[in-house]
Amino acid sequence: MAASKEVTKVKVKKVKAVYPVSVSGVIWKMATLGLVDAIAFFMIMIMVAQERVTEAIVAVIVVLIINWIYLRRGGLPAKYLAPGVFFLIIFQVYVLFFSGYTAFTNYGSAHNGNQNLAIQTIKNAAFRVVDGEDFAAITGTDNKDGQPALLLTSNVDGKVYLGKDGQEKIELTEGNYTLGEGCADPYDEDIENCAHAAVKAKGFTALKVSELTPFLSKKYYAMRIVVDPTNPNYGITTSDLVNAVPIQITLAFDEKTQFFTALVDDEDGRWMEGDVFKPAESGYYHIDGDIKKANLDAGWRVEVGFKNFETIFTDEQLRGPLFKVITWTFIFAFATVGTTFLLGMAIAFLFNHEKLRGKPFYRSVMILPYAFPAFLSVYVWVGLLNKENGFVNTVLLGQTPGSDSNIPWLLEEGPARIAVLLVNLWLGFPYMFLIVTGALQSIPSELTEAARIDGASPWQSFRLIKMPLLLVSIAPLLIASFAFNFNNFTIIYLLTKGGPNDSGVTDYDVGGTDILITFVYKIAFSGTGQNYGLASAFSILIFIVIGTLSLISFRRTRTLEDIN
Amino acid sequence: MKLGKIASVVSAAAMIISGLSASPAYAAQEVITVWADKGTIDTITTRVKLWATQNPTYDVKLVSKDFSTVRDALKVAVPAGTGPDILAGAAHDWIGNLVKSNVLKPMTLPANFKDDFVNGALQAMKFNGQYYGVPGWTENIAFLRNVKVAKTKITSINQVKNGEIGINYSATTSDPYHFYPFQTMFDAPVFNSDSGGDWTNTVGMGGTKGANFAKWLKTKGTAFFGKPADAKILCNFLNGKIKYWVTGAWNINAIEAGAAGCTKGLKIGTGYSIDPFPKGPTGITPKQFLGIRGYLLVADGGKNNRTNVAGATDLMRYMSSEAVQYSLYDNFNKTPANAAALNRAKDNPVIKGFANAANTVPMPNSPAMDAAWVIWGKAQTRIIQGKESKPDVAWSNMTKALQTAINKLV
Repeated sequence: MAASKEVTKVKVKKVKAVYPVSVSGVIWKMATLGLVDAIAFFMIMIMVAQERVTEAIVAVIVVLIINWIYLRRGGLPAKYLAPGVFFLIIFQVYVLFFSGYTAFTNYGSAHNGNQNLAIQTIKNAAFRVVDGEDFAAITGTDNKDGQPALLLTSNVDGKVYLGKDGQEKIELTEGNYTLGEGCADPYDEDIENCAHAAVKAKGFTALKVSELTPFLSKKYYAMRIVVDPTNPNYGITTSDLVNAVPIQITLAFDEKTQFFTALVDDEDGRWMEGDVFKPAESGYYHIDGDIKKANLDAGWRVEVGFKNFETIFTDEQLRGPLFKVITWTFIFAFATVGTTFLLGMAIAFLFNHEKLRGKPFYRSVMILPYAFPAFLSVYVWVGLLNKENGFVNTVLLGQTPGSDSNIPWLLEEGPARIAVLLVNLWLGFPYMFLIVTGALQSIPSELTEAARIDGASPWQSFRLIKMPLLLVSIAPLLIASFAFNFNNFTIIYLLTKGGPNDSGVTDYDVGGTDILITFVYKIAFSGTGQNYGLASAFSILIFIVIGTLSLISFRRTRTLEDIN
Repeated sequence: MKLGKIASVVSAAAMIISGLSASPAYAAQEVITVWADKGTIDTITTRVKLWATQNPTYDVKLVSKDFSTVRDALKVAVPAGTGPDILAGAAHDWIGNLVKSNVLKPMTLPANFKDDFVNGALQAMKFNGQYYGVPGWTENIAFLRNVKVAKTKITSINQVKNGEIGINYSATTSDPYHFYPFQTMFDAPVFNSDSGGDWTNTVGMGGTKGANFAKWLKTKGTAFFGKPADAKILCNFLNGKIKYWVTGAWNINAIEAGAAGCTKGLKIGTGYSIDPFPKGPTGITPKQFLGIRGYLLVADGGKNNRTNVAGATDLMRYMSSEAVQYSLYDNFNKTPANAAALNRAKDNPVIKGFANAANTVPMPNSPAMDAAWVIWGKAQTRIIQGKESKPDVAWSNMTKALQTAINKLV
């Protein structure tokens, strides 16, 4: 045992010695690594500046690992694998886990941030402008105590005041202030007739708005000049530092409990003064945290458990469209695989005939639809299938251009579904043709010859000899093709956008040629209310469907191999 | 080993240098970011640049966004802390939906500012009692007439015969905006109004009045309104094949310039005229939606990305001032929302035509409106194309489904 260990050690050492450190290699390595580090460092600086702490820490760890992998001796496999693994994690693993997580949240247009962001939004909107005297404002400081102050000129009677936080405004008598030459509204050009505002005053140092530090401007934003000493939530305030208006704060926020309290009745009668809003599991602030009671507008993202899945299976508005979409998805996927395979195989057999001349030419022509980018050819098809003037209607079917009785390809459900299948046949058969041609050439000619000698008809030889042999190698590809077409977003979206969408009435935007994946896309990204959570839940279900189908089918193909 | 050490020192130095060069870019600079669609950017760039030169401490960054997706982009960007300060050229009916998505910030506007605008324009920027932006320019549709084939203004829709009218609508979702004047000829508003004249969330187009409209739509059908998605409307109007066209100011340039393959453009007065809508079959005066394109203040974002309210408000008020709105009219034919600018612009026969034709109500800006378009349009287009044998039943089903959808939102 001991001896054998020694031997292994020696071997390892030998292996190391085989690769001497070349100077140019090290320089290249360092230059590349240096560049990567420089870029990473730059990114980390930005992350820190934007207070993305978690991201910054993760980035630092990743950079350290990468440096360790490439700076240490040995560990050759890691050096090869690291970049691939790195991108795999970013673009696959992370995305997978993120959609998985999203399926269990209410992430969507009304719940698109975290709770702090919602609190911030609610606070920002928690006021009402009160009808009353408002003012043109100049920011500055009171010379007596150096505190921020506003020089106010009334828009009503032109009187001038000095206003400070938490105090009532003090009227300045004439002579103590200077009116500006321009209008109070800086963009009013009618200087002779417009109102002028005070720009200077005794005991007041004006500060230009554009020169305020963020710290100072925050103080101005937070200012409340008292109007009614008995009501601390009513005061003159400025949100833009050039106008001051009287406002009533409508909601008070308690930092400790994180609750909002209504300070006045809601104008629409949704809540009364004194109602307390608590965060609820719906991702909204509800009265007493009870989701049956009224809520404040701003929502945030929360985990909702299996609610999205529940919606899929129980929402009555969804049931009809969903059933229709699922049926069509299966029809579409099966029909596409079936038609493309049959046509591809037929052509493959045709061009496999020994006596046929110019086979390479025919074969290259047949591959053309596959070689053109689908993005391009689908758009060409959209034009060809135009109802009024399309080539298909006017030339192939001989209909009158512009006539109302032309076939409404793409405009009505039935014809649109046929059109989708035809275009997908055009795009898909060359692939089947290619693989069948390849598989046919691998079938030994002795077998068919033997069949012929034994007296089998061509049909028997095809059905009993060639077909089973073909299927062994092609069945997995058919399954893959099925899975691909089950999620063939491109053709549906480019050709019909899932439409035509003119049948029946439901909440969901669903069209006659929508397959599951385009339907999910619409839920997630289009229309008026995005719902990423529901869309993610759907994509998980799609994954399960395709996974199960593929698993069963692959099991089945294994039995084919056994026959062989 | 030695080489390795040198290399690590070099790479460390590189890191420090890159870090140093990165930091000045992060010195606090007052950047005001404005998102807008391409058309809006073309319209406002000169003026925004002028403002930036007058206010040298601010640097304005105009970012071009796709009009149809800018809202979705905003909903993602704001929570991520990468949103703009201002959304320019926004349609006012987006506001409710954007507020519900936490991406707009209310403004405090002084009372005298509110007198600056044409009736309803600033009101359209208000949602739930708060102002979220300032108006830029207004849009409404009118009843355009080819003067060469229809010499006199008509006063009743009954005077219009089949095949005389052009209206742009889609085969699948119609265009309830363009059909709204016809619908209001039957006194069937999309939503009910409250006592203060504000829109409510209760669908108002059901009942007998809505049913009457639906029946009328079916009787008239494509014979009267033309085929859906007809690309030849412009040409037909120029050639006089159709006498009337229900459209807005956005088609005026095309009418005056003419189109390839048909006659040259028409001039206002001698070639075409912008008329008010004729009265309905029973004599009710129709109403059109007033659409306002404006500048919206974007909410503070995540990651401490604060909106520069002072700078943004100043820029927005500048863009809403008489001088700027007049210049946008002068250079880009935008109908000013600023009342004084509109008065000055009324010398222009196009602006005057649309202003005189306007018997408008501001389009609702609630999420309910947002939800309505597709459901409403689907039923409408099916009725026009004769796909519903009982138009009144289809219409009332639509209003019920719409109300259900809206109740889910509110």
